[in-house]
Amino acid sequence: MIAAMEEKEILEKVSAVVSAVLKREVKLSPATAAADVDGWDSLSHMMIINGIEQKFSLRFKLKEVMAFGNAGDLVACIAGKLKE
Amino acid sequence: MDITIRRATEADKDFLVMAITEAEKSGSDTISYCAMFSITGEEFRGLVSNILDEDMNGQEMCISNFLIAEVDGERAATLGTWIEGMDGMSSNMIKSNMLLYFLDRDKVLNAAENIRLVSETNIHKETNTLQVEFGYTDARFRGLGLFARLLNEHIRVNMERYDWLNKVQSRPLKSNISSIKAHEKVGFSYVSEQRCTNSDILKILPSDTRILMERKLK
Repeated sequence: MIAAMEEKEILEKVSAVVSAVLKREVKLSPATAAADVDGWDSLSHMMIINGIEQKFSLRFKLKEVMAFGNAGDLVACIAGKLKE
Repeated sequence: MDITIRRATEADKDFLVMAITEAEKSGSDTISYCAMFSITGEEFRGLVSNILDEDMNGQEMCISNFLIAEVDGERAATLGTWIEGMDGMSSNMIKSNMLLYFLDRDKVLNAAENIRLVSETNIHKETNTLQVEFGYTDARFRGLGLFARLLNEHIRVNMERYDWLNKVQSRPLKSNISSIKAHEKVGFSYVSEQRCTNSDILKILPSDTRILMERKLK
């Protein structure tokens, strides 16, 4: 339950970063993929990943970002790193 | 004269770095990545080398996606292909992840405007199509039809594995006449073009227009 709440909070923070980069409100669900979000292209992707790393004070490994199929994967990775 | 075509291996990395660097110049003296990210030629070659080390499929800088043509045992030409989006992630997105990981973070972020300009010349890569990038032939071996041999071998191998493939695509810059002619010679036709209207693009690329060329496989 606690883990689920943590992930919900992380998802909201990630949504805020995506919204800031894309300059419009974006609400992500765990199933949302980058391709589902208008404007989340290869350029904004770099800004979004960088923004998320800054927001959570962490650094993704290449194999981690390559495994992000959707927002749920991203959130799970962040949650895991925050527990380290 | 003995010509052989084989799959590239790690031992070919230096040749591939040189070939990618030459191909990236698109017939000019400028490496677009250097202009885009404010990096030196040496830094660019280091970047390519690092990306090749990952051997990550689904994008253009993957060692195992290159074929090498040897003439009398000497590396003479190379060509890379991959199938776009087959594993669910676009090649552009994979490349973004690589750049973010291997380039100095500030250089990537400072290049946002340049990337945006270059992306105005981008032509969408259709998922599940065979994509061609980084064709290179050593000047000493031009005129031997190596590009055609490499391309046909890529098509043969990929069609054998993925019989649903129906087209192969390439995106030369409009200024790269020799590349366009080489593609036409092996059956590619002009499909469309994408132009960036901001003249600053010419500080990064040798042309403001990219061309989509295609060859039907079925």
